[in-house]
Amino acid sequence: MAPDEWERVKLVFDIARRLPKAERESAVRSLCADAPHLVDPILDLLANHLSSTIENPRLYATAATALSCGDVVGGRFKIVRFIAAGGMGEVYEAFDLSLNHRVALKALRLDLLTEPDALVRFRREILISRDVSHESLCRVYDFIEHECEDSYDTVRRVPCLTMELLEGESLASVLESKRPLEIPEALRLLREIGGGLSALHDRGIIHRDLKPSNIVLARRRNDVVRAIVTDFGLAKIDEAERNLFESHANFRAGAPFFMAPETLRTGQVGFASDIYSFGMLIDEMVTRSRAFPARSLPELYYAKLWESPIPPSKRSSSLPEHWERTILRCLEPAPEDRFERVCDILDALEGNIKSTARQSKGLPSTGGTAVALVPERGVEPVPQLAAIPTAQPRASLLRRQAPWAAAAAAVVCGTVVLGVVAYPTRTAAARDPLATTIEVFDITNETRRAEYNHVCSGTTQEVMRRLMNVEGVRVVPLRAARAHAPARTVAPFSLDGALQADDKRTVLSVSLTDNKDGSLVWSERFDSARIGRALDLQENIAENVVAALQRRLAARSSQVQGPAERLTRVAWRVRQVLVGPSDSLLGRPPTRSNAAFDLYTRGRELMEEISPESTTSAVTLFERALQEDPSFALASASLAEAHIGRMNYNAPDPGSIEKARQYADLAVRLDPELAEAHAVLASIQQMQWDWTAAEASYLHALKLKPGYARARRWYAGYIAQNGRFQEAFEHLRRALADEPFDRATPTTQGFLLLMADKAEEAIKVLEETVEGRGALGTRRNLGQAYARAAYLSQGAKRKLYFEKAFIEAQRVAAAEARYQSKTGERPRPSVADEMFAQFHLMAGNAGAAEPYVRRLQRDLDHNLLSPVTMAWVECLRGRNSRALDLLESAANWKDRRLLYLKVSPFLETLRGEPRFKALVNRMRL
Amino acid sequence: MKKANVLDPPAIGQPDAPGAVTLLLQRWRTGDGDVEAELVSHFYPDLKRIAQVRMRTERADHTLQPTALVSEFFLQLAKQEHLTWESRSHFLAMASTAMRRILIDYARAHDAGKREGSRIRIQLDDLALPHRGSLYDAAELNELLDRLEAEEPRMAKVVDMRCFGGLTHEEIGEILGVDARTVKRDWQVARAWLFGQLRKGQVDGAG
Repeated sequence: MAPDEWERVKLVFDIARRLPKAERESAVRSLCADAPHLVDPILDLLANHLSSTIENPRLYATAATALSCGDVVGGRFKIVRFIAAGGMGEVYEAFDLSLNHRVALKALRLDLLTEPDALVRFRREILISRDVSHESLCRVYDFIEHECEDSYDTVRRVPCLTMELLEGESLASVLESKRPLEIPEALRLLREIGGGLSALHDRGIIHRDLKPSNIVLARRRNDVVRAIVTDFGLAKIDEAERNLFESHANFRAGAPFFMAPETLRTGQVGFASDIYSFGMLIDEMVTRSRAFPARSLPELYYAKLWESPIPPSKRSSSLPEHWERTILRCLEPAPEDRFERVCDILDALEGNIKSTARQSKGLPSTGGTAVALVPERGVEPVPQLAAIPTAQPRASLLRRQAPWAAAAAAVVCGTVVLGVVAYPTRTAAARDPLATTIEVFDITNETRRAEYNHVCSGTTQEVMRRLMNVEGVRVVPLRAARAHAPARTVAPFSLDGALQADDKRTVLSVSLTDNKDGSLVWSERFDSARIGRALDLQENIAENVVAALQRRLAARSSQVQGPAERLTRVAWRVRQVLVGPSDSLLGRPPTRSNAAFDLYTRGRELMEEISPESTTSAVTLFERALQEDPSFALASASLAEAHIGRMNYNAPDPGSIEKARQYADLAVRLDPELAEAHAVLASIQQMQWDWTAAEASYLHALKLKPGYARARRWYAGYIAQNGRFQEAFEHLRRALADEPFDRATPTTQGFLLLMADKAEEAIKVLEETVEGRGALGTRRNLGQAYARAAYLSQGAKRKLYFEKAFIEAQRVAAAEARYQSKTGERPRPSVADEMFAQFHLMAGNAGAAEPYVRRLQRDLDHNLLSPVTMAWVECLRGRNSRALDLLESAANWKDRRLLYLKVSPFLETLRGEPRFKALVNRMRL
Repeated sequence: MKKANVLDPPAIGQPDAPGAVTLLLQRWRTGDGDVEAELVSHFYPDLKRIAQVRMRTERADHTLQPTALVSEFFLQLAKQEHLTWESRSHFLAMASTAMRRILIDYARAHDAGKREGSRIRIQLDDLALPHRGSLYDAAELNELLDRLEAEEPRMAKVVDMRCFGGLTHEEIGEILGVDARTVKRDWQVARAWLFGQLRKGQVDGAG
């Protein structure tokens, strides 16, 4: 066929294919009346045209995928790769063209959504689950109906959803090779999975299909592996199970092994059926075999509906008794006999007595507060109470407790006498330090209500702060690094907590774990009323932690506990009730006003956001806290900090530093023992070039609180500016030991290495830091380190480093472009401009640098850019006198960026200039 | 415009300094047809390496998914060569034809004297057929596409770009300078033609 004939063929084909089959032939014949030799080829093509799925019923079964690589779904998600097919549809890797990131895209098969309202339900649940955010849940992004016409030429709508692309192994495949799991490992995973499931339940979402293949052990940022629950809200047939029960087409969606009997019987799903599946999951993880052995689907149905599970202990020799009870309770045939909530299961697995108490029917629930068995504050619980097996009947628990209640009463009567022996006062603690380390996790907000964020972070911070006051106790904050911990325990004890809520109540549960054997040392739940009294809450947690630590450490040193010792402990608690917490070994609470404290924690929360708006709001909150309680030193110190923070964003304003200084001074006056106050004062004195005072304040802050990593980090920066780098790195090492997961410390380390002109070492540190979440500043430093390394080397190495430097600049530019598309305004000054200008100049390409330099100059003219930054650029342009002009003008209002004047390798060409020396002298560096 | 020697290493130190592939792509886009062979030969060795590594390490079932290979190669190359997202479709368009050749060469070398079951198959999801699925014998497919190219080169290009490069109709249209509807029509006709030939082949073979 000649090319022009092909065009004709295509045209006729295109017209005919849209017609009903019966009319096609006559249409082709009339259209090709003048070229009859084309009729047969065209009819042949039409016969081989894939016209519709209805005419090709087998197409679904044999065509590998509904979407093809390169398809763009919803005008936005470009299919990159087919990942897997399941009963519910296919999963692809897709590239989100508008946000430039990889996602997983699931295309659903409509023919499997058999219930008429399935699609409606599905869509609704996607919409809800999109709003549920939990670190153990696969994030769901969007629901899209993809119209696809081209493959089958009738218009089909494929419902698709995009979600987080998880890279890792499924729990199913892990269990295949490694089952049963050790109890601590299983518990760790179950905590994560349970957290995710709880989060769903709290939002009214039923998972419907919880099973090992829906749990992914995924590597997220920071390289942390975490169990992540996927595919919630869907009912899906697992491919393996489909094969297993292939002959029985008439089975219900979902994984029958893990499905609750009521689901098998009537298709009914509810929270209780998820609880059942969770129980099956626990069983699957820690036993060698399945609770219901079955070789066929009917056999499985029969077993699930009419038989009892084989007790886990029969299938696993070393399973703790309370685990067996927990599993069996999850697997109760009647939904109402199972645990009510996932957190109760976790509590039970951890051997927490409180959930056990609610276990026996008929016991009234007391709305999240400690139930009858849990002694009120001030009455000593039996030390081993927490270790009593979970399913202990209530009566026997009461019997156990009775003698101790009596003892407590006796002690109350004898308080006056016993007050003398009450040992853990501050001085006593000093004599006999606890000498241990606790890692403190952020209390997680599992309520998904942002208004609780500050309660969680505030409580964590304050408990931590107060524990730091206890002599001998070292506190390691695991901030934002929660997930590291299971794999990397750094301390003998862990303090962890979670805030959970449903319609009726809000509960904060806090627990202290002995990492040696994973046992629970102390745990407690606080209801809304107690959460509302933030100060008491923190006091209570901190005190109980210290008391529990003392008990545990004492028990370790002398395995046998004599009655005298127990009596002493009870006496101590009684004394606390009578004397009040003010004189406890924890030091004073920061304020007496709950309202002030609440404002303060809200402010701290905002400070974490590190944005101009949030910092400004934080200023207001701290001011109000200080109005509420004028003696609130910590609020005053934070107010000073917030004023400094604002200077990062605003045009140079001498007023800010004055205000900061005023509040720092006030904080020190209000509480001379407050390390935070001295540290913030030190950093202000540093900015005011009052070197002697700054150093003294830093040292004082660190003396008051040696484990205060942030102050140590600041101090390291201070001593580095005078060229005392070795000392500075020593302090950074110590800061890192105190707060191993603090990202700011390696960032500072990288920057100081750069200032020490150890570019290659800086690169090493910064590359690691930037890996997970690269803040712009860190990227800039990394880029500068590359550029500096390139500048100092030759040949291929030089080329490579410059290339890397420019990649960082491009990344920053991309981030700024995203910011611009989000907010509609160009970030000014632009970090990318600064980087491009510097790197082009260092690479000897002044022409390429020109546009960036012009933009920087414009920002400088508008007072948006620090003259010091411009001076670096001018230095590279060889315009030394202009650079010196800029530095001198910066010196007039003590620009913060001048602090590294003496050491910065980027100003090296100025070192010999008399004006430079004069400037150094003027600063008394 | 300053004429750069396209095979020079990419200029270093300029973020927007294009790499060799980028320059070649630019020339190709401006209608310099001669550059095509040069472009393909430039990235042919790397593309081949990727295909071989994939075959050796991953595909126990002797099945290749060309689009994934090409896409992966683009991502690797983009990092070294400062390729922008915009140049992606052009790159894939070029790479798709090369990919077909590589897979066919590879399959030939591998299949020589092999039993049916161990021969290399190419998975083309876009060319899934009700009665035969989406797996194609490399040599058979290649022969058909060569014939199609001789008959109607543009349709063959569309098939290459779609099946081997994973490009959308819109992208293909942009590259070929026609609109997406035309591409879609080409694709449907080409697909029907391929299916017809395959079916005929079976009948012939049986007879």
